[in-house]
Amino acid sequence: MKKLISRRNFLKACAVAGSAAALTACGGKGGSNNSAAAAVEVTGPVEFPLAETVTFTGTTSYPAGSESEPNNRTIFKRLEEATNVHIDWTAIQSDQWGDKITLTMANPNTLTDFIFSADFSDSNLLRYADQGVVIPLEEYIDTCMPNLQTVFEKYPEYRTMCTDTEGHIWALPWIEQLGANKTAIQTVGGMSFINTKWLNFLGLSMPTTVDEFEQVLIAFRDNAASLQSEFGIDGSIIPMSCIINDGDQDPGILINGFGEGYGDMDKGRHIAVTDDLKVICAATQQGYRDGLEWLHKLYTENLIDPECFTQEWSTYVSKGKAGRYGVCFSWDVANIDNLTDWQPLPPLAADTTIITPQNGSFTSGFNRGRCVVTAKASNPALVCAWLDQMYIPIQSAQNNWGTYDEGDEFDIFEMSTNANGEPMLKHAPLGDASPVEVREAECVGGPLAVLDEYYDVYVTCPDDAQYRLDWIEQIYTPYMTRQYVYPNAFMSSEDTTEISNLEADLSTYMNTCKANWIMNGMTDAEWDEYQEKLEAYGLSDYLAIMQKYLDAYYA
Amino acid sequence: MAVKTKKKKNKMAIYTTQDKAILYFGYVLLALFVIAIVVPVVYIIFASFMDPVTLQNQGITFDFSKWTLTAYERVATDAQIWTGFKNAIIYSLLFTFISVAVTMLAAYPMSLPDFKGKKIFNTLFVITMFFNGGLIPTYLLINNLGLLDSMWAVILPGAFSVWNMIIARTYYQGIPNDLREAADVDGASEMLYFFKILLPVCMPVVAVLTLWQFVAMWNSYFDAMIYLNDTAKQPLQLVLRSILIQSQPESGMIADIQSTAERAQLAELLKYATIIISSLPLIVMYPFFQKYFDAGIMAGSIKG
Repeated sequence: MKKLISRRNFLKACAVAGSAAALTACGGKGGSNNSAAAAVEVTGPVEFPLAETVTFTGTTSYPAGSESEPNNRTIFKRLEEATNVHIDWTAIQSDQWGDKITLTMANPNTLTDFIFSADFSDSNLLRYADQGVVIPLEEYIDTCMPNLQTVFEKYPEYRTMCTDTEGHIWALPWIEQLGANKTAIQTVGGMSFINTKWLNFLGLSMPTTVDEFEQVLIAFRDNAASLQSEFGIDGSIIPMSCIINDGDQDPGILINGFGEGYGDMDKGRHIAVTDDLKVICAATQQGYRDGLEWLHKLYTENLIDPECFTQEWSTYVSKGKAGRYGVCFSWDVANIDNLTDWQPLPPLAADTTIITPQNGSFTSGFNRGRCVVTAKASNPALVCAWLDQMYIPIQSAQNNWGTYDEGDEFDIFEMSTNANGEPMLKHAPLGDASPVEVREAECVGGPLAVLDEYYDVYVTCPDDAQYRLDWIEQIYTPYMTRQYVYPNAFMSSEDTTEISNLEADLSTYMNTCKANWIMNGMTDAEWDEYQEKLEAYGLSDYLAIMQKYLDAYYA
Repeated sequence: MAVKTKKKKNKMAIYTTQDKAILYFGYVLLALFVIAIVVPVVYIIFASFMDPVTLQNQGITFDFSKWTLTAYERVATDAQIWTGFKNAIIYSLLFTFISVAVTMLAAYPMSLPDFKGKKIFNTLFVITMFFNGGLIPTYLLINNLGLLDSMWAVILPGAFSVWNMIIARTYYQGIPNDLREAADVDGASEMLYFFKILLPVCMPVVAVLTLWQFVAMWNSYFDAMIYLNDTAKQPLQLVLRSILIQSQPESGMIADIQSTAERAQLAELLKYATIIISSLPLIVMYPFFQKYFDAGIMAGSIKG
């Protein structure tokens, strides 16, 4: 066979190619030289617009299907005009965010000056802080972020919640207050709803005790045929449906009144706080046991959807939309069926009538790791000053929900005036546009603060929040007789890891036992074994760490 | 006529009862296997015409008044899905062509006994089969090569598969040496031999590799997700993933719970229609490769 090229020439070619390849690997992109930004001295609050245009780089997310270039969004266009700061955005689709942000943070070439919609969990935030990728911001907050300072002065607990155990603030928060303390919208997550159309048809009154509730469910079950024919329902009647252990769809609110009344409202951690500031495990209380035995009784009487242990959200909603439910659980019944035929159930009296608010709810909507400034920023003070603009009340409202006068068909807001004649954003009628799509097209998220006192001063309260706030205030708040909930504490990185390790075992075991007992009932021996096993999994250590941070918070 | 029936009788007559029993048992098993595969596919086809609420509450119903084309309408009017479709076809075709070319070319010298340096290359290739650098180093590499946010980041890195090369190499080794010697005697160069004589003989393995690589690229979404930023470059699977994943509830902002509910309904509606649409090209392709598949699928085995 004739040789293609001689051996010597071949080796020469290899050597040349090899060295070329090795050299290209050495060349890297130089870091962006931001001399204009570095030139601006920041000693106190910054006056915007700046004299010379400054450019920063930022990373943010956007919902799939909406505008992918953030600078095309009206809010950012207006901000650029108002501040003379241009942002070169790296935009990542929100469903890919989790996978891609890790890569962005690991790569110095793609790392930007700040991450606008980081949403870092506590452990990720502390990890990046340890690595030095994100920088502490408490000094900048004190010197050049007057708007955020105002927020912290009004509500010092937010500053406490942002600060870690060593006094550093690593990220700028997202705050959305809807209601406050016991009227906050987050106090009751999974509400129970009852089908008043059926109640009226069968001539029943709204149940107020657990026994009346059971009777109502039995009536639903026994009159299934007439309900089906009266309302033209395809498919069997399900007196009560839920998704056990699935957040807001879990029926935990029903058993709040048993025993001491601690209930089990913290579905992830199963803890509660007593009136003398002690952290207890809600899933080992006598009331919890009584409640589960009662639920088991309902289950044996065929009053609970047999699919409740395994079904998913989509199945749950499909059955609901077919009108088959008598009682269901969710954040808002509008997601399951409609608002006209349903009413929230009042707290049911068992041994007592009480509602335990969800942990962390008194400080309402709060996201600690919303926005971070990275080590890449050549003038972090100026970046912080720019980010501070997001905390101006009218800006926060827009960033969160949407804006006005975009020039296309529908806007979330229209600019109007409040009682004092000052500018106020009013929620605009959306016609037949989908509120979700308009919101996604216009809002930008990121760090912001919408406080309770802004409503009807800078912005109107959104309708879908207002009716839910009314429900909570009228139906549930009068029964929130305990004083404390577990706050949103910022733990050290060791404790955060320890907690998540312990929680993995504890939570899984508690949830499995709960589902098992609702289905099969329990014996004394099983209950004792359950307590022992929880101890073996480290329940006392878990509670001790929680207690430590509770004491520090209220110290 | 008489001759035919005689032949037929003879054919079965040579089987003993035991043989017949095993034969029919085999048929039964195969029939069960076919049912296990066909039933879900038929379910999906029917379900794609139904609205999720009806599907959940009544199951598949042949009451045609309940059938709806909403899902297909939504999919057909979604520009993003069609961009994804176009991208998927482009990426798959390019990838298949590049990959098969590279694999076949690489496997040829590896199959020759007189190739100097065969051992070194072999070791290098096998090492890469066992482990690679991991996600972050690979990402940095692609970044430094300047391929980020370009379709070549999706096509080039995975183009050479060592596994496929080994299959092609084994196939080459199965071709008798006489062919090569005969070509040499007639004065053919290596290139001429490879392209004009060997490759046509190896069509089965080319067909198999083409099919495998096309399917692999069609189904992949991870590389596209990591390396591509521009929404106009996303392939079909990534678009579908976005639609379906968006329905997962996220904690945090309140009104987002309303939007999650809306999106979940949409995802349910589109689920079956999108499965059909994304599998259709592959289902159409398979029959054309059928005749090569029989010969080629055994390409990796030892030839006697």
